[in-house]
Amino acid sequence: MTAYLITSVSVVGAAPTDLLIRDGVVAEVGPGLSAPDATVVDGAGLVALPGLVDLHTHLREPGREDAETVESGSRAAALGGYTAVCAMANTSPVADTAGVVEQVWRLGREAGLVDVQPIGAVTVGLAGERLAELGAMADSAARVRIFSDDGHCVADPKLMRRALEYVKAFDGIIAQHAEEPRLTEAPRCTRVRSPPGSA
Amino acid sequence: MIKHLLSGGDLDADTATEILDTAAEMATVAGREIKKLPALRGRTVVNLFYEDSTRTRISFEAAAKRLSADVINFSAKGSSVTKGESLKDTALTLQAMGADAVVVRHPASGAPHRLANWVDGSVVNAGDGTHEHPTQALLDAYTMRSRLGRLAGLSVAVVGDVLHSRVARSNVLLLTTLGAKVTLVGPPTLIPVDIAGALAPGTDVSYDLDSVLPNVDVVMMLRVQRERMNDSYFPSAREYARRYGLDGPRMRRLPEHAIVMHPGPMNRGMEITPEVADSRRSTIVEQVTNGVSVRMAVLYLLLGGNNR
Ligand SMILES: [Zn+2]
Repeated sequence: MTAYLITSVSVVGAAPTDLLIRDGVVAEVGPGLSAPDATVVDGAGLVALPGLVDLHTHLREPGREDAETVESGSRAAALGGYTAVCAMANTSPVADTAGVVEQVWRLGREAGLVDVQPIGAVTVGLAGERLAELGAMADSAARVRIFSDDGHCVADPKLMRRALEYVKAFDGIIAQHAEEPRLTEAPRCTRVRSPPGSA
Repeated sequence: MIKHLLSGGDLDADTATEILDTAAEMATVAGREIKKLPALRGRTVVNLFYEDSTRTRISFEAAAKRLSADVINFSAKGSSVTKGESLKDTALTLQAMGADAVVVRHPASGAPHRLANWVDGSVVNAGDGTHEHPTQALLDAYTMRSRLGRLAGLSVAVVGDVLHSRVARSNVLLLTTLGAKVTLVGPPTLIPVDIAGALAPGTDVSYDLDSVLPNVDVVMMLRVQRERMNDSYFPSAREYARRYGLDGPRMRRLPEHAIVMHPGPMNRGMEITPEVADSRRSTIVEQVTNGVSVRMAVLYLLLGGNNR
């Protein structure tokens, strides 16, 4: 049994008070609390908030462990007051199968710092052409309910319609980076320079 | 008796029951050494098929021949239809030939309804577009009644590509008229949002096959074309089969008495596994046999075979 007594802390901006936490649950709130078994944390000048949730995180694992891992991303999130992060699907391989989302979910559990909830890709390989196995990801241990192609965007309106309809079966949602790449592609002027000395 | 059979909704409970009872009498003919009745001798039945469907055409042809009718098979392929003749011109030709009944299969929803305005004979809809297939619904109802002894109060799950299925529409209309309760099951992409209200109030929709199975008397699996996944109605054949296919473990969630139906042709491994298709619950072979009896009854009653 672990207990923490946070003293003189402002709960969501209210007047300072004490906060007793036993086994991860708020047990008591009020001024002048005492608990001999508790570790005392001085909260003067600090604000206590509910755990924050980051709906748009890139944990980069699998594939780019040099940039970030589920463990390092979880650590950063916990330090910033986050208790849950939703990990985008643009890993390598892409999180478009039950296997990959379960891997990310398990790594999150092993890190044990925040809830890591994988986001599944809407389309296979984020390519915007065919639906990924959304139902298999929903039924997996990761229980995926948010699907997104993030910056790759689901630009085909018919595919988007199908995705929106399909996820109704398991109360899923589609998170869209609302951009039509064919409209936003910048016109480029290409110029090939001659090497110095040539003429 | 009605003159045409265009929709499962054309039949009231008494008429539908009369057809099923007549079909039961017709079935006894199949058990005889000479499988023939003289009822429609001298009458002409035209099978007008604008789509390939050997199964349905053969079933109608067998039905008409067992009633001693003259049968003309008019296939759109290699005929004047491919040379651009309109449905109306074809209808006038059939009219001139004195067709007493026209059995029509057409890719356009509503074509049999149009045809019924142009010919004096009876029109039987043998499947139009993604609209209706009323004799399939009748043979399904007949099969349920033979196996389970009744239709009123039955709970029937129709599972799969409801969106493109004429079998599903005709079944909802007919089964509701006969007092059964239908639940349509499939991925939301393949179930039209307004279908329950549009066809028959009281029809349920579910996206979760496993939750429906323990409470049904009949589960009817619809054919699902693999090509639908190219249009993203579902991600893959594997995911479709996993979520909406009927396999052994799912079949064992059904009540002990429940039956499994399929209008054919089956996609084994997609909507149904061989273990289920070949099980004692399966009525798939009976449905084919019953199809001939039911179509005999329909032709017999539409052509007034009972008042001659
Ligand atoms: Zn992003």
